[in-house]
Amino acid sequence: MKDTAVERAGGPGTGRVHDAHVQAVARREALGHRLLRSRAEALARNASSGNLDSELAALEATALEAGATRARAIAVSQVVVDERVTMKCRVPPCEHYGINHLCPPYSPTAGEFAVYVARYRHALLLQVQARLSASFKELVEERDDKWYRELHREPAWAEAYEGTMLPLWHRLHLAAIAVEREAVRRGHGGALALGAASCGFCDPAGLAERCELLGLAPPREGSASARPPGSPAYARCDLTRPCPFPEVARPAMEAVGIDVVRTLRNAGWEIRFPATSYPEDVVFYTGLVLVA
Amino acid sequence: MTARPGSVPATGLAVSNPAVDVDSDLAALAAFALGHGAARAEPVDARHVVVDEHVARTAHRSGCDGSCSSLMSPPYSPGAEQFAGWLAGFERGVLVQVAVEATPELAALAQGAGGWCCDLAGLRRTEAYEATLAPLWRVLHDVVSRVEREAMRRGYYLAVGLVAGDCELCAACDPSGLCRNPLAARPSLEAVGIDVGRTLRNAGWDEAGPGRHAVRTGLILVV
Repeated sequence: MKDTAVERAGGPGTGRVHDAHVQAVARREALGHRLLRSRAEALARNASSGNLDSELAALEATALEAGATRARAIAVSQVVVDERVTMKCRVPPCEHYGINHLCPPYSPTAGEFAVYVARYRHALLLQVQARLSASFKELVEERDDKWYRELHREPAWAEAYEGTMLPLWHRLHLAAIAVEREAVRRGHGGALALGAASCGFCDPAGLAERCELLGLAPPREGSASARPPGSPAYARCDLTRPCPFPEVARPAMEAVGIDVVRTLRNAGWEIRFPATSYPEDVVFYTGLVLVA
Repeated sequence: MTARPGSVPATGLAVSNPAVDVDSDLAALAAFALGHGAARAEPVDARHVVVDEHVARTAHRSGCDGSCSSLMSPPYSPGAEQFAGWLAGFERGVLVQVAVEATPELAALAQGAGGWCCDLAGLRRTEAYEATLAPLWRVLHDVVSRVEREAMRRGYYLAVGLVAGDCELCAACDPSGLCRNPLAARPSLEAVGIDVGRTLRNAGWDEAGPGRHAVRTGLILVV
């Protein structure tokens, strides 16, 4: 796989793409995104584990520098693929089902992806975290008469999603792509990044900036129009045409059948149910980069 | 492949993913169902659930093009083969039933007599149907959705609920488009090939149901 974006940014080894990610994170923080950082802790943990080769440690550092809150190299044997995960895309149908190039039924099936996963031995798990604002927490707080299936249609939800979840999604995506590109630069041509939730790369907000950051051609005129008022916050692809950003658009872990909960637990990372039980009002997205 | 939330041993870091007691959770989910409108609810062994491709294939009368159908029924719903693959991952679930007084004809229809999908299309807008089976379906859908949500809150994140009978959420379904009720619509037990009668017998339930009542069955696969 030839990484044209790396070449455009100055060729392998210059680190310019990587630097751009670091700058992007700084910009995002300046814009007021509050991050929960555990970088020192993560680095100390990795140093003490002592069984990771230097390449994976370098990729962990890349993830953290590119905006991940925590990152950890794991054995691919800890990644669990279970076709019941994509069953949940369909029964009941998810609001993203059938409207996104990177979601079922268009994404690789769990059966197909299990075959891909079997070709890898090393992967990097990464997570981005943010705090829920008080207003967002109030909005998503579960009540008997308020279900997410109704909530996701409300304008207040779209607003909250755009303010908190979408920037967080973009942070995860940029970090995962940074790790994938660094792995490719280090000779692991098969490195593959996976994100979380439905792909929102071509969301109009900040698209030109993201394209510049990743060394992509700027969006075509008219391809990034503002979302109509009252429409859902998430992207709806033009399925009559191929994905306009195949170099960087990536499916979610769960879209290809990865059991994120069991994979996280195998990696020693906590995940709680119900989601609203986190006392720190933490919200997070998890991604995975299959390395080699 | 089996999955019991929390049972995967954590490696490395100390984590507080809680251990789970499946038996007591299933009993609690069954009690939860009874408290939310179910006439009967009990934990069930997933091996008792019978999937037979023939059931899904006979949803429509011979020659029907499926236009009487909805996105939650054949030929649009997940097929029996696909569902059997999903079912193989589960060990336990909760079986629920709801009941309403009805004429013998409607009671028989609720139990799946005849080429149910095509017959139902003609019967759907009749007064008797609207007064009995349509609300009954909504009660069942509500119970199953609530039990599935409660299971997910307890950490059974792959829990999935199915309801017998064709989806009643919209007045008319347009199978050429996408579902207008995402996160709510559910395929029927029959649509994914579950032989409800044999499943009920395997679980030790009285298939005939309580007398002159129309009975409908739901299933929540939990773990």
